[in-house]
Amino acid sequence: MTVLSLNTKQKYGSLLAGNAFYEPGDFSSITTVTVGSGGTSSVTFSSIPSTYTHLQIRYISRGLGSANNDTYDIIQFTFNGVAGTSYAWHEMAVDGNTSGAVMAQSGSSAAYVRSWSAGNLSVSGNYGAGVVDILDYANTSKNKTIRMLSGFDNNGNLGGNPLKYYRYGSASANSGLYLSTNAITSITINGIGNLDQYSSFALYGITA
Amino acid sequence: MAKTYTPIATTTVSGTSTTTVTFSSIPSTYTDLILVSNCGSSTASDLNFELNSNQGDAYSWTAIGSNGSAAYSARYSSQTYSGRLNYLGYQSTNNYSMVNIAHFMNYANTTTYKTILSRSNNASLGTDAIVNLYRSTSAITQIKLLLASNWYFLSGSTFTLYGIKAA
Repeated sequence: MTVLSLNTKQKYGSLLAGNAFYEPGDFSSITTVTVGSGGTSSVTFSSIPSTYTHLQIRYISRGLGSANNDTYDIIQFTFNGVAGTSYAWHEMAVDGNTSGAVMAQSGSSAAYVRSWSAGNLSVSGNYGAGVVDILDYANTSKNKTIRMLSGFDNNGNLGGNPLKYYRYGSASANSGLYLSTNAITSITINGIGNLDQYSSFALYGITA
Repeated sequence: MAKTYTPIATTTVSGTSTTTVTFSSIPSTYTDLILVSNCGSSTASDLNFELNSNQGDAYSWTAIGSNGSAAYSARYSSQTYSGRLNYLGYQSTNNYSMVNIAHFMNYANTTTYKTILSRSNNASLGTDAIVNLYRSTSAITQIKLLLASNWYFLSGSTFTLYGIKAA
């Protein structure tokens, strides 16, 4: 069989007609943001295509500056630029200060869903990490559910200020709810303060 | 969009003499590594890992877990020889395998220390999550899995390493 390219009028023996083979991915990289010198106040993924079933964000990050000023950071996720009270979350995490203690925390009518990372008083070079799954993000019939595994370990070091409740580390499993049936087309990520240089957030799409 | 989540290598244990499983010459071309383990131990043991043959005190971890009746947390600093992929979901001699998924985040980064997120499930004994810190800025090129006291992995234990590449 011979195929004629409509562009070049060239004949090929394959239906690819000179084009590279394309295999739709089950797990595909969409985009990545790595924070540059001086840090940044937020990271935004915009114009997210609705062609996937689920999204996953994989990150390493570290808080920056006096607004963080702790061994840990709270990574905050908002969607479609919606602030206010459209979010709820539950969290099971290591207290990280009191030996053996486990925290169970929650937020309702919240301004974001959250996960954990390392703060600017963590040991030098320490970046916390997280894996965040946003399920059925493009579904226009459901509110959106998010699940997260995240945390940091600070090798037994506290930050220094005895008046603050610093943490040696935490491992955290979180769930989140975004009360909207709109498809998620943008995601904004903040820390307590700025995000430090080399923090990196990668967005992936998963096809069912 | 580029397809990723690529299998790099897989190992299935046979016999009664395999005390370590090593993934070596790991290419630096991915962003994260994901290790999926379904394994058992000849004697109750946690699943430990050694990176780049580093047996110094470069490992520390924070763990949370439950054994079905209580929740726990634990923390260990400056550990020598290895980090840990599970804490409370001990493997054992029974037929309940431990399933573990570990994320080696930005493993090839030569600027930051490495954080490893791990989740374990053991239908008989419990479930847990661990965050490991590996205090090295070297790219991870080798992962060795081992049990306590040179116990051996049960025959049929499987370990698969995947690579994920960010755009």
